[in-house]
Amino acid sequence: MKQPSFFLMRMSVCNLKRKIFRTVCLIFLVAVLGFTLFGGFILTSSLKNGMASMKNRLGADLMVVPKGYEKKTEGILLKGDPNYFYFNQSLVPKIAQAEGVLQVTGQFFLTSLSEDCCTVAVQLIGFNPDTDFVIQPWISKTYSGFVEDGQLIIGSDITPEKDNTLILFGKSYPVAAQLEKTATGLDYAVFMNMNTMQRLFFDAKKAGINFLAEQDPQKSVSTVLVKIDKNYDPKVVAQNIYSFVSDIEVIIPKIMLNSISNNLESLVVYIRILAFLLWFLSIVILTILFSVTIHERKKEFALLRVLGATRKKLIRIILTESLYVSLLGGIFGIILASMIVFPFSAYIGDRLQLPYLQPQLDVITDYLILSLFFTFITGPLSSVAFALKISRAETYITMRKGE
Amino acid sequence: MKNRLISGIFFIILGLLIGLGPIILFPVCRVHTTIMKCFWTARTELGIGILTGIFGIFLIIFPSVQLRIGLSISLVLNGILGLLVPDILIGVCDGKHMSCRLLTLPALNILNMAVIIAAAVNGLSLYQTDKRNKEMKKRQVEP
Repeated sequence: MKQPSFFLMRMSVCNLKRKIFRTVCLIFLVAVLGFTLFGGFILTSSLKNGMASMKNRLGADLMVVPKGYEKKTEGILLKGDPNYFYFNQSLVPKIAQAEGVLQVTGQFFLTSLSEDCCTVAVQLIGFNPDTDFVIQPWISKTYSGFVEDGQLIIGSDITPEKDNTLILFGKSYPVAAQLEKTATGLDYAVFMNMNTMQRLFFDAKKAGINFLAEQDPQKSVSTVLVKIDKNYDPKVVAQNIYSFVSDIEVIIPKIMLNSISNNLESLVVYIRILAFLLWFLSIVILTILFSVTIHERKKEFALLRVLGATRKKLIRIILTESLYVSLLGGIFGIILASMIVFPFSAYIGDRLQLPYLQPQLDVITDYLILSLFFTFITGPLSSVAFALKISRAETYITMRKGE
Repeated sequence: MKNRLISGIFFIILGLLIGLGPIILFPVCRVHTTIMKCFWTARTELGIGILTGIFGIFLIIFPSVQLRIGLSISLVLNGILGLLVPDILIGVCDGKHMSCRLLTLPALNILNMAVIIAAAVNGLSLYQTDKRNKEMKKRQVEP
């Protein structure tokens, strides 16, 4: 007569409950594996996602800044460290004349006061809507309208006031839109057109802020973003610009990102190797543990055979037990990892000082399924060999062993 | 006794983490010239944490199942209060890169959720035990 499968399940649960300490240890081991796998997947995926987003967002092929301000520009773009520096706007047409340059646009940088809108100072960036090819395509993803004079577009990490405004240099400005997260320093920046920047600039002057020196948004720019002809090498165009204009620094964002990208790639590889090693180690430890426990329970299995259990049934009992251990451990480990990687994602990104952007829900689901699959198969994989061995053992000899 | 001890110690540890965490382990923003919202959240959580710890001690001391069910219900409500304080009632600083928002808020949310879930599970399991005990007594009384 065929036994209902719930009988096997119940029996496996009873077996696991009988040796609760051993079961808890096994579950803990699989939980560590589940934690590392899922946590590692989300961490590496977030880093890769952040890097991809950063590459997309830096838009321009070249950035021209005043000489000696390369590091400060990197700080603005990568870490969101607010800063300001200027050079004469008359250099912009000269840069545009360089061979290989397709399009140029200037941006004007300013920093807010720390007690203004956001507790800490933020980067204020003024752009020219007529020539801009970097900010507006990005803004268009969340805001379809035209950025009017006096309106602000804020980065994803800036919290506006309850009435959807932002106070800058003592005056309130309406927020037209909030941009989507990019994992760059630009998440902590405020964008506006040059007329608004001009207004802010004079507000700052009126407020007696003297850090702006004698610069004026109409006469100076902080950076010139350059789009180059696809047939030209950015390094060659950079050289062409250097030959036209002096006292400037040309930044090639791709090269700037390459060093970060390389570091990040190696970090991702390390994490994945660690996860794989841990998975392998878990299988080894579980195999040893299962071999010991199955060896201990030889007589119990022989007795079951005497009572009429088939070889197949013995294998099923052992595999069900190991599957339960994997199931519980895997779920527990993944829940634990989720409790850390999701709520603390902003903190992790902040501490790593690397572009960190949580993946989309579909990617998370994929990794969840993958982690569950790897953890679920760990138990049965570790015990299958011993289950087969014990089912083949001669019942009479096993029973009489040790007498 | 073993279960009482385990559950009691668990809530004492959670209480300590909720109470002292925002001050020592995952601190809120430092007070400079103005006192920010997160400072008051930390103060309130200290009270909630102490209360959670005391309930944990009571869980160990009192053997009565019904009293422990009552304590578990109180712990659930205490956990809900602990969750509402940083999220709704007082809140934390608005800046997305502030220490209290990055670290304290998610830590308090997780710890208070753990209190709610653990207290609910404890309460339900005690309720089942109480029900079983009553049925057994009933059977013993019946001829």
